[in-house]
Amino acid sequence: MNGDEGDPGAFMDRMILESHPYRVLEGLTIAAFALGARSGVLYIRAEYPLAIERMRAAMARMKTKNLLGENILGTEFSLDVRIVEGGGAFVCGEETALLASVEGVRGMPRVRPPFPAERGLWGRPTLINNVETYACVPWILRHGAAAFAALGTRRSKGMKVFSLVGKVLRGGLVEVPMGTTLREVVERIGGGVAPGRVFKAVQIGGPSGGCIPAALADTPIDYESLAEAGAMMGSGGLVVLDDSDCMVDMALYFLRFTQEESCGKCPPCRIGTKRLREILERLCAGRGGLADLVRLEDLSQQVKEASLCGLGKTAPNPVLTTLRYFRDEYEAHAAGRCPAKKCAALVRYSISDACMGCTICAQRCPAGAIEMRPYEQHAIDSSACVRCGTCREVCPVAAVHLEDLRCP
Amino acid sequence: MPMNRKEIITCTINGNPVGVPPGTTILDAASTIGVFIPTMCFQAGLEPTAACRICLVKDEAANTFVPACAARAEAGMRVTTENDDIRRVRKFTLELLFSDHVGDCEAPCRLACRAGIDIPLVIRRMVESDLEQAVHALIESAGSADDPCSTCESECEKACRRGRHDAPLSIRHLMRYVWEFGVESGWADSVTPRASSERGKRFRCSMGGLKKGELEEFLKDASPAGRIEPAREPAEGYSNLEARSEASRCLQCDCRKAQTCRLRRHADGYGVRQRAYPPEERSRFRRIRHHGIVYEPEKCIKCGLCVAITEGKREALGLTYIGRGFDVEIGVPFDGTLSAAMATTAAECVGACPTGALAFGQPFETPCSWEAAGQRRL
Repeated sequence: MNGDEGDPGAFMDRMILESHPYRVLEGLTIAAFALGARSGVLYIRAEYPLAIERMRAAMARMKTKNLLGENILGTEFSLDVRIVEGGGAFVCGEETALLASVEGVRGMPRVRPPFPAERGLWGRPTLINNVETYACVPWILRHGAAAFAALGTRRSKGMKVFSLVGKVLRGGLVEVPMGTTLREVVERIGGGVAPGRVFKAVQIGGPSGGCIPAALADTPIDYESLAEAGAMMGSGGLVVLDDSDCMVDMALYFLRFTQEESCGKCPPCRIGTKRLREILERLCAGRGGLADLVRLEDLSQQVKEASLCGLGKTAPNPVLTTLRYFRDEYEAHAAGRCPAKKCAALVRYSISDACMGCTICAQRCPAGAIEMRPYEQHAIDSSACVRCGTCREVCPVAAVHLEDLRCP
Repeated sequence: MPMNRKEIITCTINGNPVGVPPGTTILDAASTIGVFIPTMCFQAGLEPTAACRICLVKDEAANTFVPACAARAEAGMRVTTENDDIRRVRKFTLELLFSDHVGDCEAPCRLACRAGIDIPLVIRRMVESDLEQAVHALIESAGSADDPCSTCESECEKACRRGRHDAPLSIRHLMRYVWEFGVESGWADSVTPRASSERGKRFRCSMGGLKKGELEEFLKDASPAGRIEPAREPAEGYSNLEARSEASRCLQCDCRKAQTCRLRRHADGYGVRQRAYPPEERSRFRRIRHHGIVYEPEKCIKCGLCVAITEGKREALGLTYIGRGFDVEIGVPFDGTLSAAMATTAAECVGACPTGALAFGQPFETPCSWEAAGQRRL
């Protein structure tokens, strides 16, 4: 079982492991029975100590009830299940890397085929599925496949759990039938974005996923529609973005993650993601140009084509989708402007004449960039300012403004 | 998969039908009909890792790129091993590798030399006390048995990196010494100078300007002595001892595998541009030496061959991947030394390394005759 949930902000598997350990173990046992497998491995990341503890406890209880172990319920069927704790590498969520990790070697993906079903753990045929998949099995067996298939769309069946995070009023885990539109999830379930803010996009599918703009919010959540929009279901991360989020910064955030988590085996991923990151960093720092956009597109496409495993093949997705839907923001960055006023190097803070000289900003500024002048209009020394935004937050009269560095 | 010995898989490679037993890789299947597919991280006898991506071919049936070294031929596959698209993808990977490849294929002195002498190689042979080979290297690369330095104004010495530290090597005197030695000994007559067409322009990776600390990295292994002028009449040139001492001042800043490097060969074949994907900042050149082994990590393409060899041959220490992502490196576990890591496999690892990352240096441990003259051991 693949319980190496590594997407930033995703905690679906964690919830299931911590709250429904029996469901997962039952699903796994059923799968083992169907295949005639005699041993099972739960690969759970070590960063989930509570999940591991609860899975251990559940396994111990099942053993005492003869639901696991030798001759389960008096039958010929025996199943030995053990837990392997992951060492904290994102790439170990890739199945071949996961298997290597279980074998005690460095978690690096290998070429498929042979698929694990043919040659997996210790060279033996191995079935490998995610936590959610196993958790669905007992329900399907109990209620029948038809009941499960009745949920969802024509091609994507059943329910899916998403971790709804970002700029929504009500974040958290949500379970919806496949085919629910993004708008329903964001607005009806999540309560939409904060008042006064504009819903801009959702980043779906984790670091390998893509950004879908608000204009396409009526896209139903199913495998095919998401793929068509350039994103993917992934493990089910769903980050809601509003107009204060910069799409270039967003792409950089996810790319930085995949770049750091690349195993370093193949050059397209190892070096290509690094070069992509450098270009994005350049744009966010106002040192980029329009030629960088072409470079980004070219590099992204080729990294996708040439990489060995899923990590590299999908790492450029956040870049490609934001380029596709928010090219204007990239162009603005190339001209040294961040429309969302998010990229620190491209903005500056200033204090308007609404300032009443209360000195709170000067007291709180961590960089000492504001001189304390009681009852006078304060001013920010832009060269000392670290763009933390504290002054803006503490100002009682909203006199602190964000503006473009280049064209105030 | 049920392995039926009589079963034969039929696929096509470049339009030609090929029948092979199940489990045969595309690379092997292609070789049965004489189709060559380039490789870098593949070595027969070792489990293919498909890391370097140079052997990518296209399966037209599935419309995907697959690594020929590791992917098995499947029934119905329609493999194309070479077309513009495939060349583009291979070139892309090579150009990425070069964006992170720090080192000069050729030393500055050699580039400056009008006669095209492989100066660093000649000097290396001198340091190794193998004058016959030094003569060979000189005449072969110069392309003529005539006095090679008669036509120029020591351009090589102006380019010499040592000059930025104290004074450039006295290359002119050294080359003259070797040439005269060759003429007098008669060794020069037995060398066939390479025709100028064989010395054609090759791809050259270049470090560009040195970063802080890099000159020191080169200096680490060179003799710290100052430039030596011939004590005899200048026209007579160096004495034996002087020549050897001066040669040991060389920084050896060229690549030891410039002629055998597979990365360079592919760069030639695919028309690679070194700076197609320029890095924000290139890595700092490093050179790690232990006994006769030289490891230059910035030339490593992380193909993993040396790791697999040390593992397969049951080295007690061996080599391993350290770190992840862009910063991944091949290194010795527990900060051990190179020679401990490759106690029995050094020759195999150096031979397998597709680039100049792993190479043999001079036999430093052999006491050299000029040690007695008070020079630091090289």
